[in-house]
Formats: sequence, structure tokens, C-alpha cells
Amino acid sequence: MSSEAFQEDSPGPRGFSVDVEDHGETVVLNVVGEVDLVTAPVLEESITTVLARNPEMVVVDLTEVGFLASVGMSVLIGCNEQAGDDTRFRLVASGASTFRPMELTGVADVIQIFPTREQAMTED
Amino acid sequence: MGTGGVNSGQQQLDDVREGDLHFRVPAAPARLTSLRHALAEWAERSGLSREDREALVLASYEAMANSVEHAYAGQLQGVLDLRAVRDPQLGRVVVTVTDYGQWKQPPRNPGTRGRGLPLIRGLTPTAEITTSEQGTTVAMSWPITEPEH
Repeated sequence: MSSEAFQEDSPGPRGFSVDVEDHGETVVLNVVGEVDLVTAPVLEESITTVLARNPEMVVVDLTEVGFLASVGMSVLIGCNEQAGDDTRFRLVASGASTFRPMELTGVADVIQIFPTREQAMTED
Repeated sequence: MGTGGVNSGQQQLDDVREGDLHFRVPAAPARLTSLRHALAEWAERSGLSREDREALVLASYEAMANSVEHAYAGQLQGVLDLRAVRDPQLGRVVVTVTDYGQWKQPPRNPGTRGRGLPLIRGLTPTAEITTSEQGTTVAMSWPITEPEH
């Protein structure tokens, strides 16, 4: 009870949140806030938990992420590896705060990134 | 005073020129978040383009994260200095991050980590890393593109 109350009062550091939405065989994680040293472990745990269910596809939507540090990119790379051949792992990102750094570090060469969630969920 | 509107418990040092920013904080992840926000606020008035401001905030954060993760690994606590200086004469903004720990050579195969330094180099036209026995300084600069307002 007390831990639940604590989470209610402070929904993660700096309003960081990851909402998990099931869409049939696809699971979408909607990430809101800033991904840095403090919040990256929360993101990692959320994605890892979803991957453990072996869904057909996991889409991590970073549209509402205003800051993405390299520690967050390392989490995404690790999760992509964890997804392996069984689960298709995709990102939604565009713009200077998320897509550009992932381009610069080569993450965009390793993980499929789409500009919109609809494209990520529907394209082959 | 230096930059106004920021007081999250960091030490704002006195020897700071009007309009510049200097914080000395414990090198701990939680402190970097508020420092990053202070830097972003400062950058708003720096005359940098929006794209360069985003690059400045991310590159500076990566340099600070490097200090937290590597320089002081295994130590209880160190401090780091974050300085941001606007130099209209040279037409540039310079950010330096200094720690007083041990420089750790990046491993040849960093695995899923080790994206910090490549990212810094991609985000700034000039990144100079100076290491000594006393610690490490990362200096980064961006050209001023807009007149002061």
C-alpha cells in the first residue's frame, strides 16, 4: 500500500512514464518524458517485461520524449538484441531530440525507426 | 549574478561573469537532471540556433554522464564543474565539463555502452578532451548565429 501511494505521488522521476498498450499481437510502449541516467532503468525494465511475453511486435513510441541520452540508446540497443528473431522491435521517433542523436550514434542503422506510430504498426 | 531562476541546491560560484554559468555539483545522476535543465534555460539566451541548443544540452549531458559513470567509478563521491560561457568577440558559446577523477580509456569494443564520446563528437564542431592526473576536461563550442536579445 505504501509503495503504491508513493508511486501515485511521484509518477517516476520528472514525470517520466511508460504506458503499455496491447493491440492484438503488437504491444506499444508510449514513453513520455526525458530519458537520462535516472529514467533509463525504468524504460529498460518496462521494455524487458513486455519482451518476456514474446509478443509478435513491440513498438516503443518516443514521440513524446524530449530528451534522449546515450544511456537510453544503449537500453534500446540491448532490448533490440533481446527481442531477437522472435519479436519485431521497432521505434517511433522523429525530430532533433530523439531521431538525430540515434542517427549520429548509428542506432538508426540497427533498429527500425518510423516517423509515426501507424507506420511502425502497419508497415512490413 | 550569473544565471537567474535556477536554484536546485547547486552551488552557484561567485567568480562568474555576468551572463555566464558555472555550477559545481556532486557527480551524481540525479543532480545532472537539474543541471541539464539549468543549462537549457541558459542556452535560450545564448544566441544559438534551436538545433545547436539541443546539441549543446545533449553533448554537455553526455560529458557530465561520462564523469559520473567513469571518472568516479568505485568512489563514493566527487564533484564536477559545468561552465557555459558566451563569447561574442569570438562569436561562440563554449561549454566545459571538468571532473577530478581518473580518465578511463574507452574499451575497444564498448558493447551496448560507450556511445557518449561519439555522440559528443557528432554534436559539436569542436570537442577537446584534456586529461591529466588531476582529472578530465571536455571543452565544446558552438558558433553564435543570432544577435543578442
